[in-house]
Amino acid sequence: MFGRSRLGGFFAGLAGLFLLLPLVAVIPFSFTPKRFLSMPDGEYSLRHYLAIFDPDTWLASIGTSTLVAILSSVIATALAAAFSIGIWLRRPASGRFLIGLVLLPIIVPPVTSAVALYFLLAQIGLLDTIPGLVLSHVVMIVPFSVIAILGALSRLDRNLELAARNLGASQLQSIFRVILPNIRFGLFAAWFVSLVMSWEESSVTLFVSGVNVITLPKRIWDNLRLDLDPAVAAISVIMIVATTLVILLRKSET
Amino acid sequence: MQRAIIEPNPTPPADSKAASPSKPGSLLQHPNSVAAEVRNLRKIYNVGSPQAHEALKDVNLSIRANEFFTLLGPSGCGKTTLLRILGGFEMLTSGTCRIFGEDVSRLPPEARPVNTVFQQYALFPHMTVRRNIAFGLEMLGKPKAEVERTVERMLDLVHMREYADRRPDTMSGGQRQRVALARALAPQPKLLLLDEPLSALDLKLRQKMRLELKSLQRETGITFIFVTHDQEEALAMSDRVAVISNGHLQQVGTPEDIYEQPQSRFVADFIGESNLIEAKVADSAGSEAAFDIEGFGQVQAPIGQRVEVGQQVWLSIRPERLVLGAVHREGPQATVTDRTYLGNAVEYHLRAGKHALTARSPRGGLRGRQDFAPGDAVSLGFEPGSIKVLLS
Ligand SMILES: Nc1ncnc2c1ncn2[C@@H]1O[C@H](COP(=O)(O)OP(=O)(O)O)[C@@H](O)[C@H]1O
Ligand SMILES: [Mg+2]
Repeated sequence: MFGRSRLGGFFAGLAGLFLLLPLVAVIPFSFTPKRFLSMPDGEYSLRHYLAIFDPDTWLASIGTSTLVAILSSVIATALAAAFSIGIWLRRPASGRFLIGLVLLPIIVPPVTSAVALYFLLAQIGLLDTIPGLVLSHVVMIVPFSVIAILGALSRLDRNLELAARNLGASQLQSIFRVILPNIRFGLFAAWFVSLVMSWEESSVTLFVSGVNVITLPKRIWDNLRLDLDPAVAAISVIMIVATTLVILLRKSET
Repeated sequence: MQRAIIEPNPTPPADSKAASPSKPGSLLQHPNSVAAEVRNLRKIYNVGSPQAHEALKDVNLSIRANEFFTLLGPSGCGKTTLLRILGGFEMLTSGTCRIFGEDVSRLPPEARPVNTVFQQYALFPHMTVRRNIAFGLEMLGKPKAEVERTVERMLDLVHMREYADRRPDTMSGGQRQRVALARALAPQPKLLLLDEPLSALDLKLRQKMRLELKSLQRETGITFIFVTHDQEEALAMSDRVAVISNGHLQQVGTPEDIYEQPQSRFVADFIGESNLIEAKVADSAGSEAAFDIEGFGQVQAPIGQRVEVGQQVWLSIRPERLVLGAVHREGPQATVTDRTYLGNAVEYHLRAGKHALTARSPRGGLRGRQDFAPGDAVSLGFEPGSIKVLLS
């Protein structure tokens, strides 16, 4: 409706500002010389940025989060690809039902999933372990991968698969040589979304880990609740900068 | 199950790029044998559900090796369905389907010695032309050198050498069509299925590709099963044509048979143009019968099958075989209602009693001398043997 009008640009800018302001507001806090969260009054310090490199706390959590995010995003993408391609190829009568089932974690409240996963992991003895956490993250992020990959498949010409089979490719060959290469952007999108979702997952993480395995969101959470450590602000600034860089890089690519 | 592997020619000399890639003689491996055969074939989509739809109804068909065979019929009549059953993409509901004698009803598509040119070509968008053509050969596990040699041969065959390293989405419809053809021909199938491969092309290109396809079929000796809804295309290219309507096989025969000896109203009407007139048998003696046409008179016509006096039949006459003359004698008459100039011919729309007829006279020559205007009364004559008697 606003199209390219000036008014439209103005409102878009206003909305952007509204969304960005809280992010920008955190920046000064990260430079405080004090050991609690506060506005710096004339004096600035980088001590909280250095604290991030403490191998026992922040750095360890960054490592844990990275490991969990990479493992769960790769596993989730592979599972989602297998599931979606199977549905796409076979078009079973129960297809809608199966998709609904896989998408459940999006629909049910996170606490419900969290409690369910808590009891599951307790049963199999994986509470508060990396494998247990990865398993939980996979369950939570697989729906998003499935959505991305099913979307890519819906734009794929079915005749491509028939053509491959017709030319002598087995089902597996046609998947690896024709289907997967043609949904590669969808796969990448699925993986990237999973990576981000796992990286920032907190609701289930709080239930199923926290003593031996502490992810970054969990540590931030603890600090905000108990410590008000300005390192949280420093971490936030770094994340904002990283995100902005990624967006800018992707922009300049296209 | 073995694919028909046609030995590649010894590498042709560099200067013989025009030479055809393979010699016809060496390829006729199954002279007079049956390439594909379907018996009592039925296909019902969504069996058992409320949307069940019978797409093929008891089809019997035998396609000879090395034949250019065409499935012709209006859109929705079941042509693609039949082709997909042959290719293994669709399960038949009942009946049998044999390819070179082997029952293939249960074989997956990749195990059949059959390749397909799809209606929208279905080229692999992530591969170059060269890789597209090589795909089938690689799937058969051919050695690299042979794959390369065959791909080069195919590129020449379809005149796509310049485009070998392009991707399909940068090419025109005609070019994609050629690549699809080369990709399907490269593994040397025994049977090539083509689903309306020319329908996406413009008229000029379509006519050119007709000739190319036909000569490609002769050169390679591969059996072609070609699907089209364009009767002109079917008549021009095929050795034999099967006319299908609404899931029923109407008639199978050479283009001449189909055009000259239609066996049903549908075929007479769908292939070329026909005047279809309802008539009653007045008298029948041996191979000749007399027919009463209401408000028109009596006509004689040869009959191929027994008819009973009083039986209801249809008479079919091609417009070009209806001869108009000045009214000077007894016999059927008509009034000209409209005259259309067509360049090489003139078309007259006529009314005779309750019947509307069309006649077409060539310009020039003996018959073309006489011209008529709307409102003129004319006498109707039929060329000998021009009236076909149809029972259905
Ligand atoms: N997958 C399908 N499911 C249900 N009906 C189908 C399917 N494919 C084709 N049909 C129906 O079967 C009939 C024949 O279709 P098709 O073989 O594609 O015709 P043609 O190729 O001659 O145009 C049509 O009425 C069509 O609607
Ligand atoms: Mg069709």
